[in-house]
Amino acid sequence: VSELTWSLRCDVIDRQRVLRAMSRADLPTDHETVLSGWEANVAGYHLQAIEELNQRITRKQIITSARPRVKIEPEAIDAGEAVQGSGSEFQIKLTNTGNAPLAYRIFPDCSCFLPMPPTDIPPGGSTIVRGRMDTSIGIGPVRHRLLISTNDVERPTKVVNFQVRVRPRYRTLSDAPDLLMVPKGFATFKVHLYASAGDPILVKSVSVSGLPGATATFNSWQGTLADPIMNEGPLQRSGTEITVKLDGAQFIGRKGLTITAETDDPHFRSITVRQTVQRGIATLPDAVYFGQLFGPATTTFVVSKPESDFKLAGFTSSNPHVKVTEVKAIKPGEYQVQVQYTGGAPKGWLTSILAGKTSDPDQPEIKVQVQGDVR
Amino acid sequence: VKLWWPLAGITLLGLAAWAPPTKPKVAKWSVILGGDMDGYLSPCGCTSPMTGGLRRRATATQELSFGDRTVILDNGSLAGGTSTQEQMKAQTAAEALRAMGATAIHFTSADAPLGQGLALSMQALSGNRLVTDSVQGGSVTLKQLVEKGPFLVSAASTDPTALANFGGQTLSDDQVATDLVVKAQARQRAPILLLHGSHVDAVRLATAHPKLALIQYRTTGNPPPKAERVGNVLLATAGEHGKSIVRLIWGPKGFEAYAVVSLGPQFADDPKISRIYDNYLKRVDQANLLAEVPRRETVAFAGSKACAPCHQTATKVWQSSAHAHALATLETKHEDRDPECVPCHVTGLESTRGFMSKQETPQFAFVGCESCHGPALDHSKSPATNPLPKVGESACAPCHTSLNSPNFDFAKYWKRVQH
Repeated sequence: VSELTWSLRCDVIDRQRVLRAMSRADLPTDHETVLSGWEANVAGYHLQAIEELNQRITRKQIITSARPRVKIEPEAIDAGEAVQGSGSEFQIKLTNTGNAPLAYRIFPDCSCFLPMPPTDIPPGGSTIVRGRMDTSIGIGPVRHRLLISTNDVERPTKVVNFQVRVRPRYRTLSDAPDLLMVPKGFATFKVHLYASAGDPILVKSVSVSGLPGATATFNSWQGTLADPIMNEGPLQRSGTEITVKLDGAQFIGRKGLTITAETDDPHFRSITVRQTVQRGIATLPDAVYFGQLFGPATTTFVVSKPESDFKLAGFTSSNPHVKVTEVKAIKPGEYQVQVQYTGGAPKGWLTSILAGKTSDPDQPEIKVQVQGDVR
Repeated sequence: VKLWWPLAGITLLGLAAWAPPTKPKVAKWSVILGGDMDGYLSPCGCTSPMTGGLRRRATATQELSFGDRTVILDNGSLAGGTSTQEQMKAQTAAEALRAMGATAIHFTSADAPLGQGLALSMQALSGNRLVTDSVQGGSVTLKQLVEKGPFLVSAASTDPTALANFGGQTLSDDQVATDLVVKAQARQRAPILLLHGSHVDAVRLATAHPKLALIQYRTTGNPPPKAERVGNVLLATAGEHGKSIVRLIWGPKGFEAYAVVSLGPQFADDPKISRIYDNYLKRVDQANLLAEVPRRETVAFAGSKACAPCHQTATKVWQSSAHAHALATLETKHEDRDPECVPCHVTGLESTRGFMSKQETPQFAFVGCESCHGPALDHSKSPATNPLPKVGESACAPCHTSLNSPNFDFAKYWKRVQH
């Protein structure tokens, strides 16, 4: 503000100086800051006001010391609870207690707020700004900031904190464990989708992607289910039951699949559910990654087939700088394999393929890719 | 004169002995809180200014540090899921946080579904910085406590069920807090709890354990602009998606300063972290993850060229818009093979009949007419019998989200592409 006042007093419109004045001076950094969008909006608005004043100075118009004064109510908004997607409405009352028209703009820190168009408020007058926040993005407590910029020199900017607690519009509950083991043949699991708040959600179609041979069907459903994530015990619920059928003959290892339900809800036209499935032996993670290598290093990966007793041994490496140093059985069907980069590889991207022998007749050999960045 | 000098000397010595001792200067500590990235390693660069990202965070952290007297805490949830790409993100984040000098990285119940293999990999890449006290023992060795300077740090997940898969004994957040306070008192350290739990959980724990110095919790949206205390316990959060960090200063009377730092473009990318991030992009490209994007059956797309003969004005407006070179924007950032970014920079990636690659389907290598109006091959052949529905603001919403397009204002943006 002092920078702006200085510019006006000197009858000089120094854009750089004004932009500097509007940048974040509260940060403990010693370099100039680049404006973020909403701050640039504020700066632009002030620049416009300065240009108007400058024109008046050029025209030698007398500028009286009129002073608008803003009173903002409330200074923090707790919008209470809202259902996901339904929006959260709020009001801000702005009163002009000064002797000149009060101009204001409201700059939210998020595009999830609908624009709140400005109007001038005459001296002694007040206006109620009606705002709305889109609550479709997240659930739980949500906090944002509304920056109110005015021509009240005593209070040119004021941040109004906004918070709302968003209840989920829908829930999906799967009867499959986090990791679903699939046999060589077919396997099925069910997902229940229901509206946890508001009107029922009608599912129009369902599809599965990410896994060859997987299909899904759906039908309307009513039953009793607990929702542990929402801390709800068994309750009577109704919605859609999605049955997913997997063909174990068409994949091996650990995979993720996505179930997509197209619905009639305008805010949630597509609802997705993800499920991890595994057939046979899987290596975890998918690739062994050393990251940046400044010298010899070791890392570990896991070879797993839960509830089986396969044996694992005899690893070979396609790169002489990478070798398996230890294969440790953790529990039946699970091994930790220690891999070592011995150093000395040329600088650049390091790759290797590790191949190990197993006693599983379906997968006599497993292969794992190794990556790293030799510095 | 013979008497005066010895007397003056004795007086001076006496004064020196009786002078009040000067207080030793107490070194202050900088405590920098970040985390809850949920896989948001970097702004994808589609609109500006976007906030957050590891590369900027490293620069900001460096600027706010007090050298050795700095404690850098990350509240975990490094990845946003368990897919191959999320695994790569978790590894990249762990490696970057090590390079940033992180004191402790919370391994939360949201990280646990990545599995043992990933936990071991993250632990190696982080330089043994993963911390949780919610599970003890088991197949992956995670730190339970980290001591640095005047602090003792531990970490807890409010719902530790997912961590139970590691085979150890799980502890409630209340047990972790009790354990932390006892050990901190024995070592005369200030106890800090990293919590994978909500503000409500943080208030509950602060009320039950008033000896805690700080609880870092998880929230949606921005961190509160002012510090919040429950009794003497400071509650803080870095907000969602790693878009901000919170800097606290610790002095002789405890935490004495609180500042939220939004990670905007004023912070240049840190070169060390940029190299780590570039390796991540390389791995995403090599794994050809773009080919694994879920696709569904739709009617056929025509390509924007087919629209031009009838919709000349609209085509002209589009050609001069950012939509017409949306993929090129990503190419300059080397993000054009990232399946998280590409859907909003091409036409019909979600369809079996839309964008495949720039080489295979150059006619869809931008945000074309059909990105908003839908597949239009039938319409292009017979417009009268296959009219396209009118679209409005809702057509923008899937891409212009608050995360990717923070300053999106339909009225303002529409003027740029009005046709």
